[in-house]
Amino acid sequence: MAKSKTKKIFWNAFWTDNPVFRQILGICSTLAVTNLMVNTIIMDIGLIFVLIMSNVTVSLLRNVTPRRIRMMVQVLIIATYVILFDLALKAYLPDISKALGAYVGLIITNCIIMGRAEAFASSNKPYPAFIDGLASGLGYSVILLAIAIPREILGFGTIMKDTFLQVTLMPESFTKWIIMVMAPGAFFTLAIVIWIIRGWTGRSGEDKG
Amino acid sequence: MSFRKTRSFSVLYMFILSAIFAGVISLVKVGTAEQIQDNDRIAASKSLVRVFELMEITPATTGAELAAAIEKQVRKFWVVEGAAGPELVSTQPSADTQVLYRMWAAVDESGAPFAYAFPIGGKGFWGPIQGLMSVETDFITIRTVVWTKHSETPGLGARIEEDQYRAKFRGKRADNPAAHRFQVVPDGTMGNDPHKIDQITGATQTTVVGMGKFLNDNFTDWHRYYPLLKQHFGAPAPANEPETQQPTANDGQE
Repeated sequence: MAKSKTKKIFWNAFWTDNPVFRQILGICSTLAVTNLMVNTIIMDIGLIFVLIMSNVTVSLLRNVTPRRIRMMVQVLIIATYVILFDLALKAYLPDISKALGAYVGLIITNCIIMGRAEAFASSNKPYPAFIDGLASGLGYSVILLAIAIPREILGFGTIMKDTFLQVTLMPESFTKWIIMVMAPGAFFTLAIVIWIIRGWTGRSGEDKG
Repeated sequence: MSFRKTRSFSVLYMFILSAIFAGVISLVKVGTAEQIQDNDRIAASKSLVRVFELMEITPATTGAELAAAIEKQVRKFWVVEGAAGPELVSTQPSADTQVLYRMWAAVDESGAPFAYAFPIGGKGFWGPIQGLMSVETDFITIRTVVWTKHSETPGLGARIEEDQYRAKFRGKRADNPAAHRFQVVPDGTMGNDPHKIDQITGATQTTVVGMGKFLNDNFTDWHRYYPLLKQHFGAPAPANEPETQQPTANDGQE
């Protein structure tokens, strides 16, 4: 496949049609796991893994899967990879598995995965589907981190809290903005991030309809 | 119409695909079961080691080291419904026996207890909270707490796990709530009152509403059953006995 086409698929999924700020998908997890960067990063890894694997699998089966049951098949595929990821975390990273709790299982309800399976993978070859999955996952991850970083800095005064990379940015006298690590802080930050990015990238999306 | 367009094909296809995916999951589940069980066991051992402050736990500490420390120093007890009321047993009761309560004792080389522990927990803000609390040989003076399970907000309710907060429990008293109710008070106001513990600001639901209630319930249970332990081990050790154990008790104080 031509390099430019791969690049186009990647850029479309990563930025032009970014799942979070453009399509407003996957908001539930965006709000839930962004108060600590470490939780965000693990969630991102899980989502990228599930997105790539389900995209490739859906794409491989696209010619045999009967149209009328394709959604059932997609859910089955996605659920399988989510359970595999959950088991792997439980077995090899038990502390992180404990910290994320139900959120890992809830990857299955992330609309981005089913959205990409239905909109892209079910009508494209495995390699483009792989690129699309990777790029959508990265697009999601970048926005999640853009929300997590200010939330953690203002809420805890740190970055990468609870890891060996922890850096305390704020002085001891800094009053932590408790609201930033609670649910309302996620809503405010998400809205501000979307506002900034849309303001910056212009209104081309809406103009095209 | 070709077979691939029929309803039967759809059913068959879904059936086969489900079987394949379920098979893969089953294989991985069986493959990781032992590791996951090990992790749970290690987590449980860590809690016991930490609540009795038996040794320093580092990332390099192995499950075998924890198990050895517990084997040497921790005795487990179950309270079961006996013929003449609750009964203390020191061997794991059979699965069909109704267990009323669980308690632990930490013993020194001579077999004399230097601390006891009992389960604590109840309703948190987001879900159940579970943990262990250890007390001195007077059965009342609190040594430390560990939390084994909770789903509180990171940075707010989840701060009950932080060492600074856990250290606040040291020296408080787990008296019978009928006489002295244990209170969770605004941060910084507990002073030296043995029946008051600071709340965590911003985590009122976890600390004041949750812990404020369940600790009293837990203490009521403890007072119902610890006389059985007392009977088992005889009179409490002399008052200076716990002091000699203090140098090892550094877990909650850093």
